Amino acid sequence: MSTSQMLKGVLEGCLLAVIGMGETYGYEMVEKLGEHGLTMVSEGSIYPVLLRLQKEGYVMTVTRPSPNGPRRKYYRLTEAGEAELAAFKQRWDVLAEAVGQLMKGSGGHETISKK
Amino acid sequence: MKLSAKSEEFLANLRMYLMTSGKSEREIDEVADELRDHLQELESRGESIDNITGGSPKRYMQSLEEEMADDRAGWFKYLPAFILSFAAFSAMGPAIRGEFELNVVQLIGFPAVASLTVFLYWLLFRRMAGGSWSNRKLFGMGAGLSVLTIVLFVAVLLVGSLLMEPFYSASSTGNVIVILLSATAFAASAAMLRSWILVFIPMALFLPEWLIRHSAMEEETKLIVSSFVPFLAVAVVIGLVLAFERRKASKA
Repeated sequence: MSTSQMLKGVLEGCLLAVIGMGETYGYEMVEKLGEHGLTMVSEGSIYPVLLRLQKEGYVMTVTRPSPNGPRRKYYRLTEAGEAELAAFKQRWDVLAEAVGQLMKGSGGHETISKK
Repeated sequence: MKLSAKSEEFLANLRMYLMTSGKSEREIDEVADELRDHLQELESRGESIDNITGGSPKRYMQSLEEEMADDRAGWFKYLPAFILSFAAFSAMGPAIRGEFELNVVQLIGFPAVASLTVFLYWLLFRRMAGGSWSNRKLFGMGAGLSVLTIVLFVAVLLVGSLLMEPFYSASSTGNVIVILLSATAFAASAAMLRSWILVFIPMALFLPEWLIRHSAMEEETKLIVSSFVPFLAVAVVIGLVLAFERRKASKA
């Protein structure tokens, strides 16, 4: 499984985190994810997720002209979004801890069986 | 900055796809603007649209479709305008020729054919938008459907007038009233859709015919001239509208 595929499942939480850093727009979100080492095969996949976040009331948007011409949609977290981000962080910590433990365990098991 | 032809085509197809699935116009505009912005950033860095779609435009369009709100009611507001202009288009020609009649076959057949046509065009647009068709296939399917539509309409017209007695034949005053009603219907639908093309096309189609009929030309000349002048006029109108839209787009 590629990193890009794994990212799909947690993209919603990652976007909440990126938007939580301050008002931002679509292309910039992809850049910020990339700065953290999270690259995607299809950058466009953030937009369906952004639509969902909007529908669930986690983000609010404003449209302003961009420096290079067309209108640009900027995203900010709502209070519900902040709460969801905090909840996501908790879930992620539990998951990361559990997966980390499992990976360590499975690595050890493999070396034993090889002996 | 201008987008590449491939990106523009993708945006147009996306709009068409989302429109045919009955999504809200406002939301379609928002998504299309957002993707246009993203594509400009990508292209200014020399990257391609595949970065957006992941290589499958259709699958990408579906993923947006799933997250967007339905607004079928919003699209149904166009129905009255469609019915009005359709009725006016079928009535005005015969009324100008002084032959407006109503018979049962046509009264049932025309709306049935019109509904079928709308459905087939909807299907065509939807398949076309999702399928990234070649120009050849697009032209073939479009031309095929146009021919089918005309054949169906002519069939209803012929069957109606050959097999049925009309239950209403308009007098000369009646014909004038039908002309005026049709003109009002065109104006009303144009106002509803906020699009002047629904006034210009009927004018191009019917005004020359009316003028030719009332001119001092010989009957034979009238027949020949009125067989091509209206179509020429429609082509000119469509050309002018396209040129106007292009100028507006390049200014924006």
